[in-house]
Amino acid sequence: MAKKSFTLMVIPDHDAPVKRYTIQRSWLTQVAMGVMLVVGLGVAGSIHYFQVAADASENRILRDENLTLRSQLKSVRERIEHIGSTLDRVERFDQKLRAVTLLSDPQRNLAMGPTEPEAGTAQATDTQFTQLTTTETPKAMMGRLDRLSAEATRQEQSLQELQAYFQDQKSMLASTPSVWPARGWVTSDFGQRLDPYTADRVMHAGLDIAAEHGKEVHAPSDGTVVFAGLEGGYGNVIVIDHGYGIKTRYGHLSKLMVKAGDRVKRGALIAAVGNTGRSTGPHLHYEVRVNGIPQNPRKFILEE
Amino acid sequence: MISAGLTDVGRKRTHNEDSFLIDDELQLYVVADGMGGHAGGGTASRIAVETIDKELRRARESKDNPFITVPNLQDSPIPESLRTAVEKACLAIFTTAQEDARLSGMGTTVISLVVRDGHAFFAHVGDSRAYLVRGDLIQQISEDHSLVNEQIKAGMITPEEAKHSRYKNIITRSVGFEEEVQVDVMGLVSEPGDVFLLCSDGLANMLEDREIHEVVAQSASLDDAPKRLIELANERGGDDNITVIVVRVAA
Repeated sequence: MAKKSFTLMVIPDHDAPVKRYTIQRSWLTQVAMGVMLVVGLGVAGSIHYFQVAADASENRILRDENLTLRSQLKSVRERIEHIGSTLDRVERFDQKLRAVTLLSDPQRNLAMGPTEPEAGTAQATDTQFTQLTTTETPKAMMGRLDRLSAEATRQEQSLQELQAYFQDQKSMLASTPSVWPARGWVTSDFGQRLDPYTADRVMHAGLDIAAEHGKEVHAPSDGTVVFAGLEGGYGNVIVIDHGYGIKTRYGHLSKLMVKAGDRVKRGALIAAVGNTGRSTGPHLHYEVRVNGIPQNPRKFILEE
Repeated sequence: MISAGLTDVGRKRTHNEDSFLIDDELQLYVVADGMGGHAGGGTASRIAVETIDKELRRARESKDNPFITVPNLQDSPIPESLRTAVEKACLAIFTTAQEDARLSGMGTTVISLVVRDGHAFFAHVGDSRAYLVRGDLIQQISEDHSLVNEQIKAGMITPEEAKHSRYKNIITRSVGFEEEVQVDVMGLVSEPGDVFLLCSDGLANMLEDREIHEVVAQSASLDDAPKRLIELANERGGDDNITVIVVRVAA
């Protein structure tokens, strides 16, 4: 290399010495590169700035969109939950219908085939469809939906089987005490309770339905009146034999409108609510016995 | 009112410890099935029917005569009079047993019926039964106070199993075994042509309800019915003393 450096001479006024500056060539190159780098960075920076600015405006749109999607997801989730709880209700109703068919003869129900083994699992699935949580991912929701739709299909099959079964069992269905005999508040349920007279813990073999004196009592299903009269603590009482081992009892009545031997249809007016016998106020004591064993009347009532 | 009654020792027992009462004047009918001790059972059932009859006759002569005409079933004083009569019988049997060691522990069932002014009233302790036969219907009016009936109600055994249970003779209430007894009373409006049948378990354990119904419905004269029912129970083995009363409400 011929010349590796420049010499810069600065000549001031006459009375001062000349100043010399020696500049390396390589140094100059470095300065030039530095300047280029700074310019380059500036350009890149401004490009990036514009990009970020563009992104920011897009972000606002996305955020809005995200919000909309979120609320849509929420409503979908709510709907799934709704379907789930509806299915739960259908399931319970289905079980109730099955309980009703179990009344008379367990052998008969074995003939129903595939529905029997599912009875056990049905208990566990009782509430599984309502357990959706808000943190659930859409993917998990898809899984839920698949299960719900499988369950719905199963329910449909099950109900179709029941329908077919009931078609063959119309008279038994008419005999099942599936409606409320009187309207009123249930003031004492079936099961253990404190005796209203002695406060002892005793078994209450029926439901107490509080209703005003004289309120109509209707037959909850077809049957034959086998007793209408006084019976100790029951006061005025009616007993209806519905066949299939089912008997219903109505206690504390003020008025008996049927007599032993009468055939009654579901809904027939049979008596009036009263306060006769061992009773602390006007109410209907309603009992269902299957083969002599008191059962919870609610088990047979299909109305809400 | 037509009534007929009969009792039979059966095929297995040597003594008849059942007693029955037909008092057509009071229209009072009682069947009692005694138990306990050597001569105790027969004594208990005899005291029971005698005391109930005596008490109701006494009540009729008192100023609170229960045999009055009332419009409504629930207003009649007869159920309480019947209850009191059975309670008096209980005390009488208990007292007698206390006085004589040979009679100790005796007791009896009681099923009693008073028919009055289109009403029929029952007082009941133990496993003797009252049935109503009305047209095609036969219905047991009294609820057995027996161990097997409690087992049925508790769901431990079926009514079918109860028929063959070795405990079917065990009753949960008895008149005279203790000083006091809880008496069940029932009442109903009777219809012309109704037949009330009272019987001891010697009949009820041998025959189905529908067989009793058949015999009563097919008997040309009501007088024949007790005899035919007892014959049928004896054909089946006659395990126990058999007593039957039938009462038909005039048409």
